[in-house]
Amino acid sequence: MGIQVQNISKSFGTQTAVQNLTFSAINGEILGFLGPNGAGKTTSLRMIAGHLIPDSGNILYDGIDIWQNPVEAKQMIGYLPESNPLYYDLYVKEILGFYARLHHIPNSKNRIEDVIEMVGLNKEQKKKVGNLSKGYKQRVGVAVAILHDPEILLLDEPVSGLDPNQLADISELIRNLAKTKTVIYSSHILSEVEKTCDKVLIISDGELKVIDRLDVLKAKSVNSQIIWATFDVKIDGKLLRRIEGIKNATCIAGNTWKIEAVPNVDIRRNLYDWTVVNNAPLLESKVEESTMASVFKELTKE
Amino acid sequence: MTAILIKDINQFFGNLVSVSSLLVFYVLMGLILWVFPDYSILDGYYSSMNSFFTVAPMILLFLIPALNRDAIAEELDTGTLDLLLTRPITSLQIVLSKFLSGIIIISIALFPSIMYVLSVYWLGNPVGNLDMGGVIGSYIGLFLLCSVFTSVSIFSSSLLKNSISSVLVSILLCFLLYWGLYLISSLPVLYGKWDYWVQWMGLDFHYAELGKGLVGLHSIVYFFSIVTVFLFGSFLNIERLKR
Repeated sequence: MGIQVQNISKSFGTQTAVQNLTFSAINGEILGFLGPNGAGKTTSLRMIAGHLIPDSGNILYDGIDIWQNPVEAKQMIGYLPESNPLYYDLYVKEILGFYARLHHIPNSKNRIEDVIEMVGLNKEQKKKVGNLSKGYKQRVGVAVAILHDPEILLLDEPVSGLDPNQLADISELIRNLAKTKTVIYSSHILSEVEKTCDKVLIISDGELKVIDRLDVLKAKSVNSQIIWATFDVKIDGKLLRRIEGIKNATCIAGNTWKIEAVPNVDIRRNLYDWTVVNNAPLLESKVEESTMASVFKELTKE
Repeated sequence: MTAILIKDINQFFGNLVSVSSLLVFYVLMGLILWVFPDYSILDGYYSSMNSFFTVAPMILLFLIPALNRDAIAEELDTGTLDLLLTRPITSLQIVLSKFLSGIIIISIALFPSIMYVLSVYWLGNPVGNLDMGGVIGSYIGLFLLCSVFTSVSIFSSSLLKNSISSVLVSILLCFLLYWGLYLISSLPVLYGKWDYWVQWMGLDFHYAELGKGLVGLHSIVYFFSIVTVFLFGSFLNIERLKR
């Protein structure tokens, strides 16, 4: 169960947007779809959603080829495009009613009520979509994507423009939905991807750079160790930089220093010994963890 | 398909501009047929609906492109068509739904004109002195003409994102199909040799034939062929979005 993308490529004229992209995602998994602007994320998602025909390659939903059985395959996906296109002159319930009829949903009234409840649109359900705030329009977009209870959810920037409370609500909803579905989640908010996704795929210049579990990816990241240290006394930077394994040390404020090690060296023991020898008690120290941002930067730099 | 039909008709009657266009149509037709002397039915010597069926195409040529201006253009512009393409519906079903909604809307617009027929029927001396064969033929012709104008409007709407450009292109195409070929037939190079056949290719020729009560198979096939060509063009325009 899930989605299989096999070797898809897409060009627009002479420009190659996506080249030989291959990956799969299984049921119950949230796959973060990352890449810099213009990397081919939206083109890939459009192909996976059945909007764009790839120049080559196959896309299978639970083994069903989207271009051989489009109507059957498209019943299985829910797609929220980045631009969140909606009919602004319709009421919330009218728009959901339209998509319910399009998907031949039985007992659509009950389903519409349930979805309105799920995405938190109760208070705004009697308004026209055009009169809603951006956050609520985004919720309508999510409601449209999940209305027919699809097995595969493709969400292109689902939390952009949301306030922190709305962001937390929608992220929670996505995590709950992912328990029984395959979710592909594209976002520029890397902290949100870190919180929400199990697996991450990074593309750059239309090519797959990496696909792996988030924790594995962070561990693989070759980064210099960075320690933030606050001493009880004033420190001479020259002495600090003499510690074995230290590449650089910068005073940030007062007695707080950012200490950077040479790659692949753990300097914690040396730093501790130095504080004892130099009588420079440490009030606070923190090892900076490799974040998604550093992994992203490393894999997508030119 | 019914989903798009219901949505489009809902959107149409929820839009003040669209409903106003219908009202303007009713007022204009009423004024021309009952008030202004040149075409007034009351000033005619015979109980006839000819003035209605002569004036109607001229107004419909502007009205139908205006009513269908947003059929696909707006969906293209806002991106809702992209979302529609990811749903379990084919491009052909999208085009046919848009066409059928257009036909339903223009049928609703023309329905009150039955009152004109009834009025002339009752005003005739003796009562009922009206060529009903001609009236029925003309209504068939008008319906087929509306189908062509609607398919042309859907085609322009699928070609251009901008509603105003879409309306202008539709009007131009409808004009060329309706009168353009008749005007071209009078060119010296065609006159006397090919003028009949050039006129035969125009909508005006077949509409006039149907108006005489001559419901010929060739006219029906002619109208359906033009509708098919423009709907197929619209289908290709939507399919092009997938490339």
